[in-house]
Amino acid sequence: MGLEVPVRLESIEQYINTQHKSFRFLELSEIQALDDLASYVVAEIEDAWPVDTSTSRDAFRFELMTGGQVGFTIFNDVDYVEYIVEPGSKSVENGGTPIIDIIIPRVIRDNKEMILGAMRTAVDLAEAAYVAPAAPRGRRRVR
Amino acid sequence: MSVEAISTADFGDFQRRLTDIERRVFVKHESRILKAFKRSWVGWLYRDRPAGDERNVSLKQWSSRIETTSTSAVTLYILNSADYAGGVHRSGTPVIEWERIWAEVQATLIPAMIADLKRAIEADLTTPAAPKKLGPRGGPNTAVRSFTL
Repeated sequence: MGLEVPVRLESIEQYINTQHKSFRFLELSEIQALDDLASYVVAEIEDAWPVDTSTSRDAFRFELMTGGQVGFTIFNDVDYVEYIVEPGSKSVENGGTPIIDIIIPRVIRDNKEMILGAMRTAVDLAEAAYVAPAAPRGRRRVR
Repeated sequence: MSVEAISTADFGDFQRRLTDIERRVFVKHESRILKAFKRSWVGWLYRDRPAGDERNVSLKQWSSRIETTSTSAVTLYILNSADYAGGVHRSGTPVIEWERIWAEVQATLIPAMIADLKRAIEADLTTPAAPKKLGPRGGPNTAVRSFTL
């Protein structure tokens, strides 16, 4: 159980391709911007969460998609999270709507333009400062 | 040139993402490794820089993040966004400082992190899971809600 919410910014992937005229991975400044936006979205979800379910509210976390895709995935590992309903509502078993299906789509919808606008700005800034990597120094991968 | 040091621990046919307990172990090591970088990133000479100029600019730029969503490997990133951080060295040596620190980290802290993670995963695999009551939708699968913007 638990919840996984991938939020993929496909339009930003296309925007990078258009601006850069080819594929590239995110620059550090763009990763930072994405991290800030994901934090903001998670904070908005937590703010909208019913206060008497703090265990599930405090279990929200996120990870960034940076390996070719652009976006972030929100997680909540509390195993009953998809059965929480608004106070006074019918239970999910009796046809009630889980709050994840109310709060999360609303937060994403309300912040969609802000997220895309902020990421486009981050891409524009990264493109303006972009210098093609000359040597592999500065990046190491070990297994 | 900024710094992006990446360490991937490959667990082969793991086939699931880390549990919360395992992730906490990973986060503990992430924090420890980031601290090791910050601890070593001091004592610069600042040759030719005026006395009143700000110090420790790149020290404040160290950050880290982890990726645990792959079903076979977990990845640690240690980053420094200061554009000169990837090229600085100590007086009297051409050795790039972040590479020196990273070599030390790889020799000491990374093996400890991988060993700890393996232990946590093995402990989880050998712990009998408490029986769980299935919800109204049945099944043990994670609920997924996808959005594409």
